[in-house]
Formats: sequence, C-alpha cells, structure tokens
Amino acid sequence: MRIFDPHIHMTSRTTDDYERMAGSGVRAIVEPAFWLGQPRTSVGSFVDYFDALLGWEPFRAAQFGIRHHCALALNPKEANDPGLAREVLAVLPRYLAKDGVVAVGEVGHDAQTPAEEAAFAAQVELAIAADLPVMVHTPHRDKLTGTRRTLDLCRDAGLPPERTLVDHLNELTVGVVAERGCWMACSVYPDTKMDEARMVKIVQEYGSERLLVNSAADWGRSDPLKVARTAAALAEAGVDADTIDTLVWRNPVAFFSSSGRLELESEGAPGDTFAGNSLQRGERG
Amino acid sequence: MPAAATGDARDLHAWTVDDAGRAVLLAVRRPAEAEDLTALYRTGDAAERRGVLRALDVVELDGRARKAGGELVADALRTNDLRLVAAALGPFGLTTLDDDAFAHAVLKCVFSGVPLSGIAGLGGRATPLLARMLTAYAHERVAAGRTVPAEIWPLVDAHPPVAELDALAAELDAPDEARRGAAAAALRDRRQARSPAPEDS
Repeated sequence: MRIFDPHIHMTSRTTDDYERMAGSGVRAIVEPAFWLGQPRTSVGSFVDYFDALLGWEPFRAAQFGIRHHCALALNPKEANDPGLAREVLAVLPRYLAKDGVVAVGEVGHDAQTPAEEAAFAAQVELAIAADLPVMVHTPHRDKLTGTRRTLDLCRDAGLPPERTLVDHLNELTVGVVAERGCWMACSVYPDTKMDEARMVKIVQEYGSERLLVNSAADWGRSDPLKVARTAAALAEAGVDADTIDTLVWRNPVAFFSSSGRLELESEGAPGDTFAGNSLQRGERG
Repeated sequence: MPAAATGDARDLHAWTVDDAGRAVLLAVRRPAEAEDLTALYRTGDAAERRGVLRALDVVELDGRARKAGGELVADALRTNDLRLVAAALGPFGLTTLDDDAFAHAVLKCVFSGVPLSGIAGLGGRATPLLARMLTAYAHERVAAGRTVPAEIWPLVDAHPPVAELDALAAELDAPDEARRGAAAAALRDRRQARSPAPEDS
C-alpha cells in the first residue's frame, strides 16, 4: 500500500520514525509549520525552523525513500504575539516561493481572537498571491464556531474551495465543510481528535471524496503510523482497496498538486545512503 | 525547593514553597514595578514564571503593574504547561481576563485536565458564552462516544444554552450505540449535578 501522510510534524520525531513510516508504506508527507510547545521570542527562531523544514527534514526523509514537502505559516497561537507576528509575516513571502513549499499552513484559529483572525486573513492573501493552497487548523475549543469562521474567512478572501483544506475535523464539523465543497481532513490520534474506528464511520457516512486522513504526529501523544493503521481498519470494515487508495494517496496528491510543486518520483532507492540504523550526517561511515 | 505547601505536589493549584518565597521577594517593593514583573517572567524558567504569576495574587499592584500582569497571564494561558495555566487562573487572572479570554481559559482547563474545583471564584464568572462553549464541547465528546467531565455542568446550568442542549439530547436517539451511551451518561451527570441526591436505579 502507498501512503501519503498530509500532516505530520517530523521535526518532533526521530529518524527511527522515518524508518518505521517507510516500512508501513509511507512514501510522501507534508509537514506544516506549527507551534513547538514553547513560545518563540524572535523571528530568528522561525527563520531557522522554516530553513529546517526546507533543508534538514527533506534530507532526513529522503534517506528512507520518503518525499518530504512542507507548508509554511505563522501558526494561530503565536499570532497572538503582535510584534512577532508582524516580523514573521514579513519574511513569509520569500519562503513561499521555495520549491518544497506546497501550501500555506497551519493557519486558522486557536482562541479565536482578533489577532488570530488578522494573521489568518493576511496569510490567505499571501497564499493567493503565491498561487498556493491553504491548510487550515480548526481549534480545539469551540470547534464548530471556529470551523464556520474559517469557512467564511476563506470564502470572503476569495480562496477557492478546491484550494482550501480544513483539518482536525470530527463528527460535528465534517458536514459543514463538506457542504462548502472544501477539502476535509481528520487527524487520527491515540486518544484525542479522531480514532480509527470513528474514522471508519465517517468514511462510511461521507465517502472518500475530498477527504484526507493524517497522523498529525508531533511532540504530544501521537503515532506516525496512524494513517497505515486507519487504512487497515478501513480494510477490515470492508472498505474496498480503491477507496482506501483514494483516501491515503490520491486525495492528498490531488490537493497539493495544485501548488505545481509536488515531486513524487523517489530520488533513488532507500538503503543506499544509510547503513544499519544510522542516519547519514554529511559524511559516510 | 519546590515542595507543595499542601504536601501534594500533583495539585496544580497549590502554592509551593518556592512560589511563596518568590512572592515575598516581589512584595518587598510596593507597589511592584511593572518592569520587574515582566523581566522576571520573560527571563524566568517555568518555576520562576509560575512564581511571578502567583505573586500577582498577593502583591500590591498599581495600574501599570496590573497591565503588565495581564499580559503575563495572557502569555501563560497560551502555553500548554499546565503549571502555568493553573497559576494564571488565580484571583488576579480572574479579575483581569475578559469574558472571551476567560471562557477559553476554562475550556483549556477542561481539555487538559486542570481541575476546575481549584479555581476560586469560578462560579461568579459564569457567562452564557462559557455555558455555550462547554455544552458544544460536551456534544463533541458525546459524538465521539467519549465521556464528558461532570465538573462542567454547574457552569452550563448557570446559563443553560437551549439549542446546544437540545442538540446534545438528540444524541440519545443517535444510530450509533456509543453515541447514545455517552449522551445518556453525560445527561445523567448533569441531573446529578443539579440534585446531588443519588438517583433510583
């Protein structure tokens, strides 16, 4: 089975995870920029982070035959630091021109403040100017309200539904996104957001059209193999292989292809640049 | 020495000995200097930051220091460090936060397991907004077939949101058994919160 995990924070994961992901069928990923758990205090921290998502992570992933792409943005939580937000938004345009950037994200709401709304709207405009799709994080708190605000903001900014991906959806929010014709994503977690059994029910109710499944694995309790585990749960529930391939490969490919920057041909077979369990660090052992 | 004053180091709301020591040092200057509070927090580690947040509840604050303290509370509530989140919700935080920010802070506690019982004066800040957000959260949990923390119900019933409660009650007829069961359990907890006497069963 071929798997495209369209939302995973590899910067928080180990090289062993890349190896296990490759073993589970993961061949491509998108890593959106997010909050690192500790508030950043200067734009330099963002610059180094963005550079890592365009440099070190694709390098690390390639050693396991995984194509790494990223989405860049100022996340909603740190949008509430006004000085920082201004500086990060100022450096974003030059990054959005890079080849490895296939979307703007994660943007959206956290506490649904005016500062978050302003940064969100500004970044949707940057995405339109850069001709990129947008990956939107929906909030943990007051999710349904936040999801509706997201859909309205993207529509009012002139972002086409086929370029809007609304993430972290659940039973109560999938439907409102489906109605607007946007792309929908669910994050399958060990014990929050969404689990495999619930994902099966959502697929049975809504079908596979415009629906994506991701692990959103990060520094919290999460599992980088969740897309493969969900695919297995779907197969066990009788969902056919073609539908599963649509969910875990063709849909993310279709969405991110609109960037014109998705590169899915592998740069050589895994195994020839790393030996044993060691990661190549720029010199060969 | 970060030993909890109550002897229970797991109590997120309890003052610790080092919190008290830092608060005493900050209380020496009256009123506290806004610049001191900000600098000590910004350059502090997690325990030092918590000490500043705790001190806001007990030291004398003028207008500038109150404004600086409000910014520190907002910063602490953006973190996921539950020690800072709990410390931000002392008496100072409760009088400083507007209704929106306060509702988000309470939801954050419910999400992350910071016990609401340790927040003094919580009931006095109940609003229709908070009740609506908590009920929407309960509905999300039920739709996922999950349990709902019973401690939310007094805040919900301070301003019961009709539409959201109707939507929650409708889950009793959901086709999915897990959803029906979760709805029944949540609504039973709500009834018990209103009349603490045990029910017939």
